[in-house]
Amino acid sequence: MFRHITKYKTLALVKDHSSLFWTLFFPLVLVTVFHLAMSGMFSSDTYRFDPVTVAVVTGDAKQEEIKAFDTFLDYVGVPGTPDENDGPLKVDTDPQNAYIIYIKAEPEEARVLLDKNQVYAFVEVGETVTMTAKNILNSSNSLNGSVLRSLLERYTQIKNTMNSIENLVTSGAIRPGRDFEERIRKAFESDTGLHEEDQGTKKGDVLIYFFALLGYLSIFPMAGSISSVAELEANQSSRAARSWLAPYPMWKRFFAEITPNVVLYSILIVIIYYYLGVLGVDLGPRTGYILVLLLLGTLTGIFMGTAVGSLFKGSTGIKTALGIGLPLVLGFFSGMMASEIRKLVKNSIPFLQKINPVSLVAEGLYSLYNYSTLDRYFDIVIRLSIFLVIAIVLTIIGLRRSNYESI
Amino acid sequence: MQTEVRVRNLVKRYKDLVAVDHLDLEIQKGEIYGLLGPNGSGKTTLINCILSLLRYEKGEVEIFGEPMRPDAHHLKQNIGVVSQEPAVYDELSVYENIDYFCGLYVPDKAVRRKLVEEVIEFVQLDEFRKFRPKKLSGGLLRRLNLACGIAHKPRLIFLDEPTVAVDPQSRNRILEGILQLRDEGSTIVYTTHYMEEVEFLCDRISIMDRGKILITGTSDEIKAISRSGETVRVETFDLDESHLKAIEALPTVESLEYEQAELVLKMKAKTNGLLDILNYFEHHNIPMTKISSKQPTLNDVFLEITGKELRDDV
Ligand SMILES: Nc1ncnc2c1ncn2[C@@H]1O[C@H](COP(=O)(O)OP(=O)(O)OP(=O)(O)O)[C@@H](O)[C@H]1O
Ligand SMILES: [Mg+2]
Repeated sequence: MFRHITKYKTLALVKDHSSLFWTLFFPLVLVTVFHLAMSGMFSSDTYRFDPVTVAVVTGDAKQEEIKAFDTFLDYVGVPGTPDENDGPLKVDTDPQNAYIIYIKAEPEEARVLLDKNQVYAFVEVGETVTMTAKNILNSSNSLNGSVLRSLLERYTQIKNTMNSIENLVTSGAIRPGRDFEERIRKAFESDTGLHEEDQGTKKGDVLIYFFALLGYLSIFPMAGSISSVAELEANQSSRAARSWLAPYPMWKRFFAEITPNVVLYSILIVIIYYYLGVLGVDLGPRTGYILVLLLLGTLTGIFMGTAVGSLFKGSTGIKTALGIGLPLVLGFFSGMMASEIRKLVKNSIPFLQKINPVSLVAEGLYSLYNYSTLDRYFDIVIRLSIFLVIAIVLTIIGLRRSNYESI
Repeated sequence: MQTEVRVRNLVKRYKDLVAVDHLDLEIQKGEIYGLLGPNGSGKTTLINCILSLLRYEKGEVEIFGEPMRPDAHHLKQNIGVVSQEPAVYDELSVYENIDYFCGLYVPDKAVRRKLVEEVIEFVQLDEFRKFRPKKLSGGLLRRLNLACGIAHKPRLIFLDEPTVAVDPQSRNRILEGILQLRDEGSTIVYTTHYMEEVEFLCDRISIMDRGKILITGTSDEIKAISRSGETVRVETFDLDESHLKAIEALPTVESLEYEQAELVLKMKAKTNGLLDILNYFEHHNIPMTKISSKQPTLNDVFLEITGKELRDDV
């Protein structure tokens, strides 16, 4: 019976060209349109945040301080060379994930580089690390300043911590495990200390659109599963009344009805993910985690649809409109149409962001992209799972009635 | 005689409207049972209550001697329903639709294939088997709807106005098919507001109005209960008051009307009034251009009981 229904439901789905367009081509078209609209931004500076150019003056700093700072530079920057035409520092390699491009210089040289705007700032390494920049209040460059400042603050913080530990080691209080530099590297690897906003501007701004878009496309199956419920509830369609009369319990019919949706939309979201890759939108290397999140979102979307379809009274038309409209609205609040909305919601109605499933998927993708640790990701996965469970429970409540007051 | 359906004291309300009003009925095995009633009389509601699809306020329903409930799947297995509105998938072909609905009852593929072929033959949709429902005419769509409901050869079949908006050819095919189903041993509940259909088809008829069954019996029994007899119409130009008075006084005449040279006589039930009239005209040498007589119909009975016509278009 299960296979029988599933087979014909799939057949009906595939043969229904207009809904097939909605379920398959619409998302792909949407992704393509998004990509075209954003590709301008991709090549522009807002996306490819230029690393901050810095001259590093070691002067008469202690050897281990220079060594420690070198380790730091290694992690956050790439070395550059002065431009012959007095432009900003050049790099030989692609400064992919670098925050800064640096050049070691004597104090006078550094001053000249700064004057000629070949570097944004120079940094003097010593007991304390100081940073000198020309136009720190200049708005177009203030971002550079805050990135650099927070990097240096973080460095100082870690260095101080390490120093304290070292003191403990020399005093014999604890025994050292590994190298000092190694520890600094580790500390940086776990957290560069940059504030989310700074980093978001670096890589995420355009990606926020795509994160929200993927969030939207995960919840998108809602409309489809609302129509599926119309095939189950005898008061919603004459076909449903007919299959209600068949000798099978509701839950069996439900699973037979919903399985093709789950399969179809799961495949769809995976296709979309890889299609984005083909378009050149790089969502980061954690494909497994990303797919888990997207599939969880898809399930949530499907069960949101079944909950709405079975709980709410009213015509299938109205409910389907809701199924199409609601994900769009949720997508809007997640920054799908304007990324500022995301920040706005985050700051003024954080509650909405925490319960908006589109936001949850988007934020999950965001955290996978931007944070090396998975705490936030798992936090979001748990929240989304709770959302899913609630949708399932509501669906069960909605479908539980065994016969009808009126049809 | 085995009772396939028994309904006792059934009450179904839609808010203030009592759609089924303290209704009792019994349907015997092997009969075609007709539910005749005008639009809105509660036929569909009654069927849906019998099937447990609708909740009802009061009453009991038994099918095959067991109480009918929404989860009585072993009873559902032996019931076939052909709804008033065609309920098929537009995306699936004729064959696929029948196979789909049949498969809800018959899991075995080989058995099912045979049943589907048989029912396609039965409703004569062979040349349309690959058609989508949208491409079918109204009558063919009805036949498909019928096929979807009966392919699994149910013991008890509910047909809710299966011939509405159907061309005469399809209609005849459907009616013959229903007789055939009965002859193969199914019990059939047939609702309609076409009295000719129930007269032709049904072994027993219930006349329904405002959620109540007014009368039940064979077509002849019901007509026999009627107080009115045949209606005689005479076309004649030469009738004066005295003649009219005299005709009205005839023992077999119930009432008469004379307008625009047409005399319409309602005769008393169970009399041979036509003869009386002919004799009177002959005896008084009154010329007439035309005379006709019509036996009372179920509609007349219905009109008599309820004061309204069964169909708007009669
Ligand atoms: N879902 C509903 N909600 C409220 N009233 C309803 C509903 N369905 C039917 N009714 C009312 O109940 C009464 C009986 O309707 P029903 O459909 O059972 O009649 P019917 O005899 O099948 O009519 P038809 O010949 O037009 O099919 C009608 O007055 C109708 O308006
Ligand atoms: Mg009806």
